[in-house]
Amino acid sequence: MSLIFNEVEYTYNPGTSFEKKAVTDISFKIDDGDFVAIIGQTGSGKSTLIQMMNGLIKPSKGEIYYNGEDIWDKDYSRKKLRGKVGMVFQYPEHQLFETSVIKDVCFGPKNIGMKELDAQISAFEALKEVGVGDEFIDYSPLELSGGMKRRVAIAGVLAMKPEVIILDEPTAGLDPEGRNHILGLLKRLNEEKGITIVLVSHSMEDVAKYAHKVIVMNKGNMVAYDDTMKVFADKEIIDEAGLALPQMCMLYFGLAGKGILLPDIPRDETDAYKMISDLYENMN
Amino acid sequence: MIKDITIGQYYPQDSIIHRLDPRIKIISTFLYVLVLFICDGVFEYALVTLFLAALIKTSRIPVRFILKGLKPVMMILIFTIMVKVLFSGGMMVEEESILFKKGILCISTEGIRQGVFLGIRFVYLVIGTSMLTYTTTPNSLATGLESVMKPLKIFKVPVAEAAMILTIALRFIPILVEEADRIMKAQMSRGADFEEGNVVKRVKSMAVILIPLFVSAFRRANDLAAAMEARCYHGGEGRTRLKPLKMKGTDYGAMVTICLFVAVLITVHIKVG
Amino acid sequence: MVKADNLVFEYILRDEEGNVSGINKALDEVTLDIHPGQFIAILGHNGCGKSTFARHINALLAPTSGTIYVDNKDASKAENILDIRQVAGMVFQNPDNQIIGSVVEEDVAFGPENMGVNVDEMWERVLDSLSKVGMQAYRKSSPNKLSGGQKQRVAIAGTLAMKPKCIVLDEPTAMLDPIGRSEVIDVITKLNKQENVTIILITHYLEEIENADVVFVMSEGKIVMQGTPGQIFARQDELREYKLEVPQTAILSKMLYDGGVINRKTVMNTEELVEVIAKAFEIKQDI
Repeated sequence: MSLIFNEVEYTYNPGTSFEKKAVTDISFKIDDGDFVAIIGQTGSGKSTLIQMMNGLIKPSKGEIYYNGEDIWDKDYSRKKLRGKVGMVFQYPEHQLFETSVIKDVCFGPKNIGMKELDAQISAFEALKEVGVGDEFIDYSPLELSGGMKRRVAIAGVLAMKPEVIILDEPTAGLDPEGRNHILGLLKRLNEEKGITIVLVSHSMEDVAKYAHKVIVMNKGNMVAYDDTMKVFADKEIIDEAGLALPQMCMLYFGLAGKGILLPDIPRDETDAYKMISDLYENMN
Repeated sequence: MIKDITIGQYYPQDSIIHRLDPRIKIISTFLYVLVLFICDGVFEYALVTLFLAALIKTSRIPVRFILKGLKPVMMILIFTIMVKVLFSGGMMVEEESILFKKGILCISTEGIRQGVFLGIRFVYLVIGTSMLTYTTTPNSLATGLESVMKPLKIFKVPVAEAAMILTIALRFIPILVEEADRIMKAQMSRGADFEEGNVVKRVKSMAVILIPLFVSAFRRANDLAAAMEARCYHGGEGRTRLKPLKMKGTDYGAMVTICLFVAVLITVHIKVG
Repeated sequence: MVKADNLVFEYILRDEEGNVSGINKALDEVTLDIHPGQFIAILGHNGCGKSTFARHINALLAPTSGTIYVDNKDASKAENILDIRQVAGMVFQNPDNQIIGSVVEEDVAFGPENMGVNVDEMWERVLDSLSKVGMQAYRKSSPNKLSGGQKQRVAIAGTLAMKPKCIVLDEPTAMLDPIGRSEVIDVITKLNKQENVTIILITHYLEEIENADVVFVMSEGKIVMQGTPGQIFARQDELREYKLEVPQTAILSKMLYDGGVINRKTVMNTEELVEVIAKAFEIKQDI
């Protein structure tokens, strides 16, 4: 069970003066149950990449396999694929359209052929999972707060019972409470339900804290794909891609420059605290 | 997809046409459309073609970009030509020009001729009017319209406000088009199908794009109203312009050119026709 | 520059039949005084009332009770509204929804056009404002072709062209990527330092308040904290209580301070923390 890209390329407006290569020669494999982050500057090809994962746009070159099947094979149902590989767009609350929360969440499941009752059960479960209480199910999605709307939108994808969820900056524009809620949800889905997570994010701190692996995009090329901390250890690649290191990573390199060598790159502040105070205590 | 629509867009370029007074361009476009409707016969069309070619050349807009603008209207174009060509029976067609006839189906050389000219006229209409928007920024287009329409103020028509509405509409079209594209993709990834099913089903499936699009448009309108107020907008009264309209030498030149073109065409029409 | 006294803003909640079902206090007796030339940051989570407050400064909303004076003019008086909007420019969150013109220079001119500024001066203002935000090269571009950070800089230039004494920015970076965010923060810091424009930055990112002179924290319509960035960063437990996220560096520095490793309680950026830690190690080595 995996998602494979084989020498994939995508060109916008081929054959016109507006021709623009969005991504070139991308090959990778995302394993089942993994938590992969995609990082890169705006315009580096991240959006194109994830839209191809979801079968929304067709690669100009190369193949994409999901569970061993070519998703652009003429007999392959991309509608089914979208049920298995769910996609949460940026500002997903903008796609809500139904008159009630529950109806909106049922939209996806019904489209992929779930029976009314099954769809409703699935929707209830998904809403519970994202933390939208029963009291809200008959509300119009427009009446909810921004953070709540976003949860409903994510529930709409979750209710299709996907095996993989791709999220394009799911925390953009939310305050810390809303962000932590969403990131916590992703971690739980990944750890408890074994759902593969593909996360596009601009927050290097979040990536360092949550992702197992990282894909780095730079000008349409995949310049790195490795374990999160290994990627952040390669300062040059991150710099070249125009990205910043996570704060704790910057601290690691800064201290190393002063001759203070921490045993490892810390993932977060607690990690860093342990390493620094250990080193401090055991001096001399 | 929807993004391909280029009609009504502005194409930034530095050319004589771009620099022309918008009033000249608006009036010229109007004259051009009128002329196009009296146009008939190979010679007259050749003249219009020449005029358009010269216009496109001086505007320095890539022909490819202009042709791309025709894509969305292709279906209507093909349909109208087909009707003319296949069902020319209803027209006054001389017997000898009929090539094929069965039931209401009737193909004749006259029908083909008319179909071809209709097609050309339609294409030229789209290209000619789009040239106005390609070469004129929405703001100066609005300023131009405001100025051209000024006489309507006597009838209490809020010309300045209408021009502002037009400016904003033109500014937000590309944004909303992009948004529609995004919403469409988002709904597709939730299993929505925009290609299959009968007409009723397809119209229904459009609702899942249109409702979020309207919600978003209202939200944007709300934001924009606040932003405009914050920048002291209080209607057209007392407003000045960054680029006030002033006729220059080239503007008079352009005016003479268009008048000559119209005169020549009418002469040809009367003489040849 | 801005003086609010017991400012209250209430709005009425209605149920589906249109009956009054409750009253919500978006601002609850806000009192503050902002001096000319200051860089002020107002922090708070979504829905804490900070945007409502911003809209009062620009006279987009009128207070239910209490007063707000902008440049010594009462913002609740209709005759002052246009003056106040000229003095206190405003930049909003969504870059797309505040740009009116389809060409950068035409958008920047929108404010002066409304004010009836004459053509020559208008051009001067437009060019000057664009160069102050570093966007003069894009003067003839379509805003749609710009990045988020660039659009916000155009919006800032649009307020600058009105020659304001004060610019209120309502979460200007919330929809931007990290590069766009630093572009905007750099520009407003520069305007404050070099042009002496009063800046009122409304945000929920603590990383952005580093350069502020005074920070206010709002919660449930009230001002709940006030102080320099250093003082605010030191009160991390309270910040968390008000649903704000403290940057990792600041959390770590407090942990190290509490653990007796370093002697400074609040360090806001990583380079500084590296120095402080290195110093601590040096001192211990010497002992």
